[in-house]
Amino acid sequence: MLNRRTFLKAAGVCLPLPWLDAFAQAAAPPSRAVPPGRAVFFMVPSGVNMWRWHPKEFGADYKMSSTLEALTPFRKELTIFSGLEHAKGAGGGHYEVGVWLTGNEKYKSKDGPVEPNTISIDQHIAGTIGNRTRIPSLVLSAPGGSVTTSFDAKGAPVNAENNLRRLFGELFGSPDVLSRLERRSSVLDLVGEQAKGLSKQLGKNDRERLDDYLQSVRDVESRLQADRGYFSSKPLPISADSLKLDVDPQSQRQDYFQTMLELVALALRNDQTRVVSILACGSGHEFFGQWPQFGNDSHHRASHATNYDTEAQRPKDFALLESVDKWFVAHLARFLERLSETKEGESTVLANTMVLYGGGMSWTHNPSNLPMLLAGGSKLGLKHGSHLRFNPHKDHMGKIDRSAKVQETTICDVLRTMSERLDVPAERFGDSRRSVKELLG
Amino acid sequence: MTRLYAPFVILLMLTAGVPSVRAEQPTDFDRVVKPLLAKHCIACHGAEKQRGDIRLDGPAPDLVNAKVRATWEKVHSMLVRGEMPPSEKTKLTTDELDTLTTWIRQGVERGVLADRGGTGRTTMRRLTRVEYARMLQDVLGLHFSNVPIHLWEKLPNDPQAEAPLNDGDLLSFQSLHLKTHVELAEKAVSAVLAPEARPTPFTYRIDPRSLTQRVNVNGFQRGDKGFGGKVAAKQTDVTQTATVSFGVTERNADDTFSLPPIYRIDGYLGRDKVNAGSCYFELPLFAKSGVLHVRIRAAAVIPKEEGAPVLRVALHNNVINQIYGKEIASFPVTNSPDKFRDYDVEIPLDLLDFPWVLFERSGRVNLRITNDYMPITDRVKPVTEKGKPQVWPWQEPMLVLDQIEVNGPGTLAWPPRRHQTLLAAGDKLTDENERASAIFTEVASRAWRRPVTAAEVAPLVKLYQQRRKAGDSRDGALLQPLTAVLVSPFAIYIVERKAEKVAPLTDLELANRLSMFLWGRGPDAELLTLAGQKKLHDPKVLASQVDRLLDNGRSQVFTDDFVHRLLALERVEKDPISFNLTLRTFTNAKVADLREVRLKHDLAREPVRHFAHVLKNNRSLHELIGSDYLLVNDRLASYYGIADVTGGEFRTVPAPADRKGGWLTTAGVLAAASRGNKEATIHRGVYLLQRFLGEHPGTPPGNVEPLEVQAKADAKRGKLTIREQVKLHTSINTCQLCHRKIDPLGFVWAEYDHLGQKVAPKPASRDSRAPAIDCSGKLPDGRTFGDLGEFVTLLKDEKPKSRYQFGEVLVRHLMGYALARPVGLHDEAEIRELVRSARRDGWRLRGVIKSIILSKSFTHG
Repeated sequence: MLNRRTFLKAAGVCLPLPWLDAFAQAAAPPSRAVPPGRAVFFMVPSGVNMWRWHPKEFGADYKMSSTLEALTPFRKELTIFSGLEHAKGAGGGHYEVGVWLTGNEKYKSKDGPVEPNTISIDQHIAGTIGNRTRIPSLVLSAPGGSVTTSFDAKGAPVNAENNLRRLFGELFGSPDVLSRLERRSSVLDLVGEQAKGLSKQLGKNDRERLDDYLQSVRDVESRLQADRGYFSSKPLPISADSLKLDVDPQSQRQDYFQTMLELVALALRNDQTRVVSILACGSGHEFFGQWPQFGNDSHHRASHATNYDTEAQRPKDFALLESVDKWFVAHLARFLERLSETKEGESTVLANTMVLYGGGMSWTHNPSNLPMLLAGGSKLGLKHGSHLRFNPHKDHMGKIDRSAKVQETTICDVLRTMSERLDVPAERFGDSRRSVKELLG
Repeated sequence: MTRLYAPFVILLMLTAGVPSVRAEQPTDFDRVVKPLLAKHCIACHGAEKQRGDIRLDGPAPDLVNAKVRATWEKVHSMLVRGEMPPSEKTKLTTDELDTLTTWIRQGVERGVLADRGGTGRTTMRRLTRVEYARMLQDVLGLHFSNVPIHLWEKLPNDPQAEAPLNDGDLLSFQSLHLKTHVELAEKAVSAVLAPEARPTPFTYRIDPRSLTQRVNVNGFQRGDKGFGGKVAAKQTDVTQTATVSFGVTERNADDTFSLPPIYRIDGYLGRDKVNAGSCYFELPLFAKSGVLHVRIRAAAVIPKEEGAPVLRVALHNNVINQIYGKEIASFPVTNSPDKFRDYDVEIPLDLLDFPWVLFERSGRVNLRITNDYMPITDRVKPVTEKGKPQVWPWQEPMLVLDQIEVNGPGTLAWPPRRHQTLLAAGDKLTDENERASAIFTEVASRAWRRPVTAAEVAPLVKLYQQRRKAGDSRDGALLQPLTAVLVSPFAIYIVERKAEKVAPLTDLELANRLSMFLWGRGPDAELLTLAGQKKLHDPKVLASQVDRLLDNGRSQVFTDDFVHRLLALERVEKDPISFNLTLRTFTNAKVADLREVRLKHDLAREPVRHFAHVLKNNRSLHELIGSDYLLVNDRLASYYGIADVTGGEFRTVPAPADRKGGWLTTAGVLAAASRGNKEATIHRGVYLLQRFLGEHPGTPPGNVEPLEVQAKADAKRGKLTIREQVKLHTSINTCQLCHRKIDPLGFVWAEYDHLGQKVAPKPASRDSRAPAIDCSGKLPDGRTFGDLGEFVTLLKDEKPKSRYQFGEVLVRHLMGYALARPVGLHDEAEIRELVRSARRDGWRLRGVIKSIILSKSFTHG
């Protein structure tokens, strides 16, 4: 494990205020050199033990729930949501992953893309502020590939990284990074020329096809350029020795998530990127299957159709869910701790970073009253410290009291509010109708 | 900022546009068509309302745009069928209908011409990820004895299409595709190009006859011991030794060992946890690079009525708390012990996803060999009256192991065989650049599926020279140019150059189309030769090539892929459908899983085998929806309750009394159609409508809950029968439009459950007799059926008016698949001719495929 000293040495001491470098390069006046705002989206799908996730009381004087107990030190830095969901109950069944950050109720795909989605909020934000950092956004998930919460403007899934050594290489380089980049670039030059030659011989539609290819050659090349500049001018003094980069996400998930979140914290701290999405696994926990540390039972079997049961009826199943919930919350708590202990200007990294945590199911297959919370970002104008209750006219099973006159609040409203805190307008993002004023100071 | 998703997109597409086609017909549109639209359509599809997200006001549409065209083709088909305007609105007169449909048809035809430069032209498409990975494997020789590799998993998922099943237009290309293609190609080339330095050779050979030592075997209980020992490496420069152990095995008279099926032992101990019940080989650590050769001399003892044992090889980390196993190979062994056979297992270490770091930590690389046989029927562990375990009473297949030899990556030929084969084209050339040029010419012509010119090779040689100057070795400098060859647009796309008007494809293009269709890969030498001689457009030559390609084992790519896509069979293996196959005694979850995995695999193969059988014997495609035989193996026979079938290979058996043969009665199809739902009438209706009746079911509104949720939430509704519930559902106005077509179809399968088993009728009360199950329903055109048999008769009905002839539906599916593009209005004439000739020919399947390939849509572009 990376201990605190390594982290401080790596992040704090050796690299004082790297975001200032970036601002200096951009020749911005020093007075405007406020720390950059950032957003992290961390999804843990498949439902939770709903009897213990939310606090019982609302408002500022709530008592921390047993599942979230590890977050007690950050109580003033976070807001817990009750009653939050997507409009029209989107994301039911196992469609939650593709819907969580898009709010697209039409998207009905569980295992990878079968149809175009709509853009996710992280990519929407990265579309505006992504060019201010070398890496526009980090998209991570333990299964990797198209199992992701992030979708680009065309609605295609953004390939998620799941290999920590590759991620480290991407962030901090590896011994052969420059030679590898050079090799890549010569290959791209060559095939780019071929494509240009071919393009001249094609009809209109085929030429459009090939334009996609040429555009991706340009995209990958410009990223290579940025990488080469970056890695040749400032090799980062972060050693991979103390990090467990070759852990397997399935069999060594404790080390895996710990290291992944450390790398994310380092990336944020060094202003490598300002937008991160993390997906723990696909909906249904199939990727993790059994949980050996909690009696080797299957999460999805335990959570399956818990909707009508009490804890007394299925004690073992709910105990497993609670253990897994707490396990992820502990990772979140450590991550928040890392962000909060690094000073940044007058405040901390956490004060400039919004971390949205939660899932797209409450009870299994049920997309209402989602377990979600938002931490950090107090310097970005967020007011924290309470347990907010939205949509009180819906009960915990999603039944609606139609006589009540309530202004509905959806997840897209929260996503939009986060986006607006970073000065990225998202007025009509997904189903959003308003900014969540309750969150603003 | 603009709203970020859907409904407005269609509007934009309908109104914006390139004036190419519009210019030719403004008067026509404004004078004749627009008033008709205004009179009949705009009230629901105009500025005010956009029912079904369709908007038909505004200027003349740009029918060159494929998406706009698709919308208007839909309008056309709804008009023709009388589905629009809806019944409560004024009908179009015959003249009006004719004017409108003629305008759409002509516009579409012109649009297609302008768009593609010819009818029947496939828009240039890229290879799917499976095709691309297959190409890499073929070109680089990445085939390994008994070890499947799934390189396509490294590439982003491709979208699933509906009509056609493999629509090339949907295959987008983004920067992440390029990035992953480059990474994969580089990785694959590196796996073949051997490094300069030969890895230290080592060989470990274990002869079981030499093992006399009784050893403790990890995972054993109650003081049992297995046999084990150490073997030294053959080469003197490797001082380390490997350890081998055989646990819970039987020693034969000739001192070889027999492994019983592992499931029994795992029932006690947990699958993959221990080395009991297996042959466990622990090798000293070596680098994860090159190919590890394992040669296992094995045989099988197969009792009567049992299947063959399955030899499974896994890489296995056995350190407590870090147990991790990965299956490398799994294949049946059938030869008896009087004829031992050597089985080669080649493990490509570079291409293997295994957390090698686990081995680095323990300093050992572990191989686990087991007998992975799983009995088809349940076997209850016998116990005494007091509950103590008894001797196992069943004779089960044994895997007999003789000598095992492990050769390191550097041990056999050096440079390795694949390295030599890939570079063979340059073998006789001494000049470095000439050699590189010869190699690139050879590899590129295979990857690009055509001869290449010297001008195309020159930049590759230039890159080679650059790499040499930069200090790469003679062979190492080949890496970048070869990567470039494999990610070139010529490799990734199927390139067909345009002619201004419809013209025959070049022979090379035709060869490519043909072999991509039937083999999913580029043409072989014979096809290329014929193309070179310009003989492929000769119908006789082409027809005989079709036969040759279909008779070749590679055509399995086509049958597998087409039938899997048509029947959505991937759902059978991927959807979490439980077949409740736990062995009652061995409740270990993994053991139950394995039984299910194997059953699901066979269930998904049965419809494919049926198709292949009909195709091979050139029988009527109507046998696909009703035959008097089934294609099963032992597992499926047992699932269907058919006696006397042993062995895992598929064969035809006469259909039993309670089950016809064919797709409509195979359990795999029923499972795919039901999607794991017990009351799946609507899912089934959609499935039948789309796949057997050839009609798109329409898009459901987003906020309608699944039936069971509604039923559960509403107790009153829960008391209704499924037929009454469905009726309730059809009575909701917004749903009715599509569901009046869908719902009455699904009942045809009422007598089958979601796992494809026949269900017994349920009596209403304990005293009453069970009523017969009601399987009646109707087709969208109103014709009714009383049961599955009558349904099949309707689908075979060849009255010219019927829109729902299975034969025609399948011809359309096949045609779209062959062309990898949507079949549009401009193909209608061609399709009508194909259907006519197929009917004359008795709907024989091979004939259908041949006539599709000989049709102008296929040979011309």
